[in-house]
Amino acid sequence: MNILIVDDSKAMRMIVKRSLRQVGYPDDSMQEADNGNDALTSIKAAKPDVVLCDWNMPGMSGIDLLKALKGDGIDVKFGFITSIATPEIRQEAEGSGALFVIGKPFAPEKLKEALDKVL
Amino acid sequence: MSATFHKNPQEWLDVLMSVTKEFAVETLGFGSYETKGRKDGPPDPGIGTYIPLVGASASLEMGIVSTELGCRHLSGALLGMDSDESEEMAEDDMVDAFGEIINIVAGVVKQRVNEEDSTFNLGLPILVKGQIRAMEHQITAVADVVTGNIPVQLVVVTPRCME
Repeated sequence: MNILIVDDSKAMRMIVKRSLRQVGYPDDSMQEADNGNDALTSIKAAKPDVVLCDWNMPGMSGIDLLKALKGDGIDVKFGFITSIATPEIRQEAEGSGALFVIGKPFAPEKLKEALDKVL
Repeated sequence: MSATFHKNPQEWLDVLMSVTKEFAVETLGFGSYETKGRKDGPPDPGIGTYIPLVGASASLEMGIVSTELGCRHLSGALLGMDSDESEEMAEDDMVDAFGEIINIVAGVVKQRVNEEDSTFNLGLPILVKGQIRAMEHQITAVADVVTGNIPVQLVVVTPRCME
């Protein structure tokens, strides 16, 4: 299992990792990227099983990353963890190929439920 | 978007206070949350994290201000740290986590007003040390809160025309 966590906030990456640990994912299943460009490179180099990505990041946003992946023909399971989980954001995310959108703050069980559906 | 959607600074502060209370109790796990008062005017000097919320009907900044120790305890609570760990946290990590707190809170505020105006966009959090001063065309609304024995000020900065 290889889960890529993409968030410009180290704190948020720590929270996602802690939540994943709490629902049974081992530390060695988690990789991190702190921006969209590095995530794009990382995904191309070693296709992860799923990408958990923030929406609002400086530089390449989460939705820009997803669109870049689709534009390059890279099919990877992709979900958002974002503080702006409005119906409009969900629609745009799912319309662009995201499999789920989790709103912050979230319980670890919510993350498990989303991952169980796609992995 | 409703053509009549309008909130003055104190009404925005109401939303911020409501969201922050839920966040402090349910996410950060503080057992207490008490509003001590509210006013129009600048917050006290301290460390503040602010985020812009810009939409068709309004443009404002929301912020959370506390003492350095308060910021460390709030940030530590977000990361699941105990008090000792919070106080030893690297400053960069504290700044990052404190920014994430306002990012999460502002995101929920956006969701609360989404039915009235779905055009709001969140900016990125910035940290301010010291005291902010409103410009001539701006107004600030502040609420004094204590949560988990941490003194916190919640701040809304809007153009004066939203008054």
